[in-house]
Amino acid sequence: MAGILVAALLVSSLLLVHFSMRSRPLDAKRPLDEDHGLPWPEAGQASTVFSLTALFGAYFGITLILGLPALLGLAFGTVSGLILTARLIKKRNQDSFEEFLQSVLKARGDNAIVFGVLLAGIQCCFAASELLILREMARTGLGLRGEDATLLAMALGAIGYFYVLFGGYKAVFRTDVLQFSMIALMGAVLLSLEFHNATRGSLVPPLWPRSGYWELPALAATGPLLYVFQFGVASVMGLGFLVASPDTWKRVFLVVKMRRQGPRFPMFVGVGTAPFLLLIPLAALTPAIADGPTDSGALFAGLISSDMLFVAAALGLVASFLSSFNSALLASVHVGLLLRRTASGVREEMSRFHWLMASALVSIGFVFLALSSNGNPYLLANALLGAYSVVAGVQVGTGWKISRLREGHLIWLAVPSLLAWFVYLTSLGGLTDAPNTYQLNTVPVAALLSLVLAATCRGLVTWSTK
Amino acid sequence: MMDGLSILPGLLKNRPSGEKGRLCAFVLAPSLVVGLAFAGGQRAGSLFDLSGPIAITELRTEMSIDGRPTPRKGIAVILEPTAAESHISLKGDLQRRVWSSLSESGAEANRDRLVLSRDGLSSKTPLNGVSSPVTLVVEGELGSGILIPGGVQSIASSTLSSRRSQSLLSSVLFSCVLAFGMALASAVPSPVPSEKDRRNVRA
Repeated sequence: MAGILVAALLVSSLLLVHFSMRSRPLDAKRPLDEDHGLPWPEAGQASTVFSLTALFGAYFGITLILGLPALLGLAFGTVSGLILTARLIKKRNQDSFEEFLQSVLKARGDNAIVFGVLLAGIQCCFAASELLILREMARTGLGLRGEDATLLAMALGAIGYFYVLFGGYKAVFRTDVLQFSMIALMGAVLLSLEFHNATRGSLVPPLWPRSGYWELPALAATGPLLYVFQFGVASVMGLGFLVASPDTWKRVFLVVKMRRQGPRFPMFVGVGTAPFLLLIPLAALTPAIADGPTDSGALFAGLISSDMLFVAAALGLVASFLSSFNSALLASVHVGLLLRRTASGVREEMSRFHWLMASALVSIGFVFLALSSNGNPYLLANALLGAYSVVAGVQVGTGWKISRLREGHLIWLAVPSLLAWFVYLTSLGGLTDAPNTYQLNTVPVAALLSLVLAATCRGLVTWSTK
Repeated sequence: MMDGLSILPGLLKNRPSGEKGRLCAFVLAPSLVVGLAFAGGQRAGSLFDLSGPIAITELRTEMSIDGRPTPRKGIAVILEPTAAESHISLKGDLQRRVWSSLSESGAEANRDRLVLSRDGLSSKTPLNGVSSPVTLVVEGELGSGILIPGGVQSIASSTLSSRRSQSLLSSVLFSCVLAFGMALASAVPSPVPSEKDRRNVRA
């Protein structure tokens, strides 16, 4: 049953893309300069925020271990990120998203290349991380053998790639609507199951943080001050994720600039943050896990306890993966396309789009295959946390204008920060062996890195303007 | 695989850059990554034969009528009726017996194709007179791997996986093939006509 439904989802999405592109194919001159006719950016936002990396990775882990204060912080950070992006888009008042993206990438000297490569690289690695987590979920949650799970992930990645290749933004946005409905279905099934279990009084979601996570020596082990600290760290994380995601900027741009009728932005924020509610029943369904190395199979065993859950989980997994994978792939290619355009403009960019798509897929595929034998599928996502912090810090510190930084400054900020982050991760040890609950303790360090970089950039901007 | 790679230069030769990019994006890059993911599995079977010719699951306990479990090592093997040879190595020095789904006459007819020895179970399929999968249960602890002609296959790649999950994989592969078909239709350029063909057309 699950197989037939997944095939129906994938084939109907392919046909949707095929027929919509037959009526309006991609523009050969500027294939990604498309802002009209993109339906429901809200749906895409909701399903992209709840990527596998978030839904079955970092955000899920935070909800399980740190409970309500951190979950509220994540939601607050996400809303703040959306509002901040919307304000900036209104202030810049550009006519198209490409113009906006170009204004973000505009910089002195090699700063633009450093920032663009960092952004595109993060998105490619994010897509690879989605593949790794999908493989892990397919292996441990859906019961596939390791090599079959690798093949499933890569085949799904190829299908997502074809959506983007055939139809660019239009394909991504149209399939997002279908995928959002699948994630909503998974949410509805999980919520009804949670309600059913709650009436029997068997499952309770974790509400308060465990000791040993996100603590400061100066603060008491429990109490309001600690919760405020945890709320703050999670807020920085939620904000940083959106501030460094060009696909989110695109969706906010569409809502703010292209759809002026009605209270569209509040609705966008509402739909975009509503999936956080999904984490509560998910956390409640998950058996309690011990601190330290974790068996992710046991973690998600509850998801396949019944046929209905298996179908809902399979559809939700596939939809969640496709939505975030496609968005990340397209964002990285779009940034690459604009970088190439700045270096040398051409009349028709379709060929460049094809070369960049092929290069991005091969890079993502190689990273995925190289890391798929690693014992910890969340390792790449953990490493990316530092890269996101660097971009978010630079964005916030310069007020989204890296052109304010002097030539050559960015490389001296980004490279040492990333090196320091990787040295820190390496110093923890044991991260490559298996998923570990103490990986969550890297989040406050990433938040600190982001804040330090933001302050440094702010200082450099002030110093440059004097 | 190497034959497939050898046609690449011919496919890309004399094409304008735009067409090369199109061909790479629509056909070569996705084929490369999916092909590598497939080849990484070191499958014994062919493209859609995901389960391979042999599936093994380890038996660890037996239960008495009162539901009390006691440890007892063994393996259950499912042999598909496809052409394959294998030797499953088993540890332990036991008076082995094999319990099979074959009829008495079927077992008699396949004495040389299903051979149980002290160090394991050798099989050569398809079995005589049998067109459906055969299930075998053997007592003993599973060894390090499955010996096949030309190499050793890991146990992990032959363990039995749930049919529900396999159907999920099949449906994804089916959709992937459909996507490849759509991509091929829109990407593969028409063949470049040779000078002789052009002359024939002009004539």
